Amino acid sequence: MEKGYLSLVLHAHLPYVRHPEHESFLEEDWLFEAITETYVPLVRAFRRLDADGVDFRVTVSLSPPLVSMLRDHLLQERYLKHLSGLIELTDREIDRCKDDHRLRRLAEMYNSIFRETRHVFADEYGLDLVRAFRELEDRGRLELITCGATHGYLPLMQEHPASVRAQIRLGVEHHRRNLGRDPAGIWLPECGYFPGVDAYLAEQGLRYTFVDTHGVLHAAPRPRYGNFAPIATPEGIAVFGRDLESSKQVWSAEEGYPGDHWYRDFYRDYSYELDYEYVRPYLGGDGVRKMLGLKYWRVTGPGDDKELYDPDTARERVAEHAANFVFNRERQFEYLEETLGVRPVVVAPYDAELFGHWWFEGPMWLEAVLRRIHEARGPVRTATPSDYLAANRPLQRARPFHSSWGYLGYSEVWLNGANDYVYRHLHRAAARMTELAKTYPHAEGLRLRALKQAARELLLAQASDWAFIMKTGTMSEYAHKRTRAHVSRFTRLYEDIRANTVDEAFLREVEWRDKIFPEIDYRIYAEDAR
Amino acid sequence: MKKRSELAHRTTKELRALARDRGLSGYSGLRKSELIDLLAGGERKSAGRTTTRERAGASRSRSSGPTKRPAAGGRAEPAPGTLTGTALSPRVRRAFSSHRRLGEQRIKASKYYLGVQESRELDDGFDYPDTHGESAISLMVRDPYWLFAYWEFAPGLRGELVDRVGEDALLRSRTVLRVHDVTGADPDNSLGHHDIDVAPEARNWYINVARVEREYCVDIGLITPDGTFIVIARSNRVSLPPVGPSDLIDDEWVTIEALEEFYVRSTTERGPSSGSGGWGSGGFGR
Repeated sequence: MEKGYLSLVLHAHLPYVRHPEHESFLEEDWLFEAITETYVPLVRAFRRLDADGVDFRVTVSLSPPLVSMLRDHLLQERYLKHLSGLIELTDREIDRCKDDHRLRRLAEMYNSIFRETRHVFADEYGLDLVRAFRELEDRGRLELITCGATHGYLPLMQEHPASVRAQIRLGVEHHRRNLGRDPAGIWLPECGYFPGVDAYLAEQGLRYTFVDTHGVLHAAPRPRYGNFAPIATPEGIAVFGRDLESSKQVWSAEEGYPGDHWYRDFYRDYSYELDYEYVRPYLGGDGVRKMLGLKYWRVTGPGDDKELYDPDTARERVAEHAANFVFNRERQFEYLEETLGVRPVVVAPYDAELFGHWWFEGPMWLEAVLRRIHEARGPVRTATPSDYLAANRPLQRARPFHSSWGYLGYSEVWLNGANDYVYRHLHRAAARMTELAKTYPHAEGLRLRALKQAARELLLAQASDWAFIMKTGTMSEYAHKRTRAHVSRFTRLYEDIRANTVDEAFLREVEWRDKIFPEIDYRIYAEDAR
Repeated sequence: MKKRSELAHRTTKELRALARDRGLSGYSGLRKSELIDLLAGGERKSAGRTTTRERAGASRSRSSGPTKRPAAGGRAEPAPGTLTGTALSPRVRRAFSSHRRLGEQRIKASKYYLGVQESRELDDGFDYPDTHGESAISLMVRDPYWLFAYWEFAPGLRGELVDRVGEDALLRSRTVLRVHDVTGADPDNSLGHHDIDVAPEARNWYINVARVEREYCVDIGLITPDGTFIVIARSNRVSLPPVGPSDLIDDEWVTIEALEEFYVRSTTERGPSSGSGGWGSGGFGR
């Protein structure tokens, strides 16, 4: 008999990176790596569970930029080419390592992963992985939800209600168009909540969202069941709070499972040890050394001396960690039920890309957890927020405040000395977009196209990824340039529209480059705050 | 007390030793930039305003206004009458601090890590547009203790000010941010304010609030030699999030009819699932 619900939430998102103007482009690897290491392995794990009759429910949020990229023909073809390169490289690795059976076995492991990935990606889903997620939802296994249109961080956008509304509304519309259903819930980018954002969710027919632990714990009045039951906001949106304990076991680099010494090391890539000429064909056009996915080492320990990865031992560790996670949830549920007097819901949200990309064994671990929960038929039951809300109707009315799941829990990650200069530009563009939409409510022809493109440029500039990357320092130059590029394209369009001098050649070029949301209605920016 | 710039000159090994000496935990797996964050964060607990900075190269706040910043992620010892709300229990605070380690941020950042330091490509030659042409100030909330303001001055502002107060008085005027506590009030009848001196060329500022859980609004302006305050621009209002659980405990229980309706709609639209879980299961949650 169950004593509570475990609500696993995987948030899948990458910023829109697509550069038709270059034959290959380094940052497109973000998507390619995530497909190979995260999305395909997760899909395969869920399909195996489903085929074996394992009863499970998992929530997956698919951000509109990610869905757009997964369905984009140019990127699909480029990914296939990328994957073929990896298959060829690992074929050569198998040959190169033929006298070292441990290395050779690792090369074979990657080779077979890449070949299976190609089969799933190309043969089974015809290059469109979004189909895989839809099918799993049809099978009753996943609940798919949406996200902000371009993952804009809403607490720092609150003075521009039309932009907040557009982020939510386009997220919902994009989901409907691409996933074929109205999303029941939304993952607010970075769990960024501010009082009043619930009105925009309600406006779009959304029923629930998530906040970090303190987002619920600090709500007023004080939630009786802490973060183990959702609360209802003033606008009637159910808000689920993140659980600390289950989060830490997976998220923590020190105490969490992914840091286990037998797991594959993320940072070390064997390709850096190989002759440049040997790896050159698999690098991008600029020939700069980058990770190629030949990760032959395990975490080993804190030092730089690494030992070779041993898949068998890693698999044993996965089984142990899955058992430990389920055991801990059982104890947690028994404790909570006794203490609270109601069946708790434990919400465990993760970046989907943590599984497989950062934590190579993550998808395998998730599969083992879900299998174990099913087989134990114990106190733990998996449920999506919709499942939970359907069965447990009365919610406490409480008002959550500004919070996020970023470092320190508020907005500092996206507002600090490394990135604060962007807001004056983003806010000005947001105000100008509203001005345009109000000035030209019935645009046609070239002006209509320019207005739509201006909205796309604004949206792309608003992605929270840029501020995050500026802060954390990995590829920060790209983030600075992307923000600047979108704001300047927006500004040029704004000025041309106002002066009635829209340059068709310029417009055509930016339409070709920044091709997200083909169906966008710029007039949403004319609407005032509720 | 070490500033960020000083920390940046140290080796990773030295930074780790520093973290260990300070009794901080969770530093072993961190990279250099993360160690600096950790150490600078640790400093703020005692240093109060060390993070106050400005892009435009302005001098540090000379204001005597703001109180010290309470400890990150929890609360410092409350000065009597300045902090409201209820302190987190030590257990929750412990859980919070370990949960909020930089490790999680590092894992999130791995999504963008490709083993290359910098991207070469992407056409540049872009620049940000010029100013709006009007004087304006915007206020944003960073966390329960800090606000961020950015502003700009209209190109003709200086001329207007010279006309109004005279060249000499203008040169001897101070540029200040006047931070109003507008909790339940409007800025002209604010509950109190404090001034922060900023350099005339500064265009943004982090403001350590005097009292938590309040509403604020900020004026950018001048204080002339005779003590007159001239408002150049007034910001939007913001409301700070609480620093701990609410004191309000009279809970109101609600049934969300819409949720029930949604349930009905979803089960009929989607149909029962093929397995025994989720929507189709008769026994769920009963």
